[in-house]
Amino acid sequence: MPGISGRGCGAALRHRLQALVQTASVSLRQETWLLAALLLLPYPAHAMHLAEGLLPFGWAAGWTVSVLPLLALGVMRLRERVAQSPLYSPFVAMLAAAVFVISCMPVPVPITGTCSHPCGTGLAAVLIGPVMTVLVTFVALLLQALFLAHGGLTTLGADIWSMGVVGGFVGYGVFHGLRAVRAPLGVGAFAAGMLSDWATYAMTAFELASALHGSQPLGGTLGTLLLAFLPTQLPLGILEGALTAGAVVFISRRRPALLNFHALPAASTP
Amino acid sequence: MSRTSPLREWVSGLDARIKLGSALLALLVTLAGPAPHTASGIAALALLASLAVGEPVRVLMRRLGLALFSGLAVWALHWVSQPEATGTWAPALVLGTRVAAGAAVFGLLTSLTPPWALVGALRAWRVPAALADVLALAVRYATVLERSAHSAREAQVLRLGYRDVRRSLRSLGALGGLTLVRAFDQAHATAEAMAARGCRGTIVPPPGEHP
Repeated sequence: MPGISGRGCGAALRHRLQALVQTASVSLRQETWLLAALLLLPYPAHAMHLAEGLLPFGWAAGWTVSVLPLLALGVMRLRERVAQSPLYSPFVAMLAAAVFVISCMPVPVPITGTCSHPCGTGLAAVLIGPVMTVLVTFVALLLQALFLAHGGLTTLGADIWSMGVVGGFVGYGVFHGLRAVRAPLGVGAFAAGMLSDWATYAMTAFELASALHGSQPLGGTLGTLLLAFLPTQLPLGILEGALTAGAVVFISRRRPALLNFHALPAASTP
Repeated sequence: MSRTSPLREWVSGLDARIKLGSALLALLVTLAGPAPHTASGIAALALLASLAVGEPVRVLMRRLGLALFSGLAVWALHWVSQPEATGTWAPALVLGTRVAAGAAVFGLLTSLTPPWALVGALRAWRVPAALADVLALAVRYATVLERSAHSAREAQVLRLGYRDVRRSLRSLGALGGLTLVRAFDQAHATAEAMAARGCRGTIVPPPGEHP
């Protein structure tokens, strides 16, 4: 990579960048600004998906092995429900396909001028609970990897952790916590979608930082990555909250039974 | 070389288990081998294989774009935070070549193997039947739902549903809800069709059995 390792050009660019940061009198760290600038380039934003090969072997294996018990629990729940209702298996499959479709919807991100996409796992957690959301996330991520080359096989475990486990459990907990204190349906769904998205992005930043910090302290790298992703993920989380709230309110008007689908006894499912 | 070359047809006709197993092995070697030489070698081999089976060069360039982007981001992270350090390009090169190898191998696999064949390979590797069924159904209906959501979005656009921010947010929520309702309807129709055809067990047959 001659453009990167060329020391003369590199030194000049470095000095110019540092001078720019100093003259702007910005309190944030320099690397955060550079990373943010790099992430705001007109390149498809896949902040929620770690690309194939991004994680070293140990980390990729660790995230994959640690998510297996939750996937096994999801499969056990699926078997139980399928034995009760033959509709459950197609429903989970369709929900996975719907999460796949929703996460392909291009959402214009304000300020940055780029497009990103929602996760849809907060919405899935509201509908079928967090454990089944892990399974749905696995299927949706595998489809995205196979159809669109988003994510990959070696990073699948880490991606399931951030989107399915953290995003799903946070979305479910926030929604039911707010509903328990009698918050309106739309408010609960909005908070669930928004916080689920932000939690997913925080977890993704942690996964990246833990694998890539090298000789630097983990906390510093994590803070840098969190701040660098902030310009896109802050508005995107709000948009995901609006999407979740709109979808849940729409479903509550058209098919209210869907909101309690995971809790219904088998006999009452259509 | 055209995309219907004899070599491409031969590789496409190989058992999906062989292709998936080879790709996984290549990815594991990429991650576990000495960096960046192993990753560079595997990326080069995968790119040559892609060219040999007729993959367009622009597709390969697009795959490598993500590797370049990832490498640049890591270089920026190390370079500006430790300006006095030398060799800040090394971690970027390691990561960039790893992502390039991953993208090249995985891209080659997905271009030569349809998703349903990969699901069949997973079933043959003793993935639980319930999960294989969900995967098979989701693979089948993902494109159907995507087309449905696309047509609904076009109808919203024609009705000026994305005229301003407020209407855009409302339309986006309705689109998400409508997609889920249609998914549920499709699930119901699929369950009835499966029952009508006497399906009581698994959709994807276990290895060695043909429906």
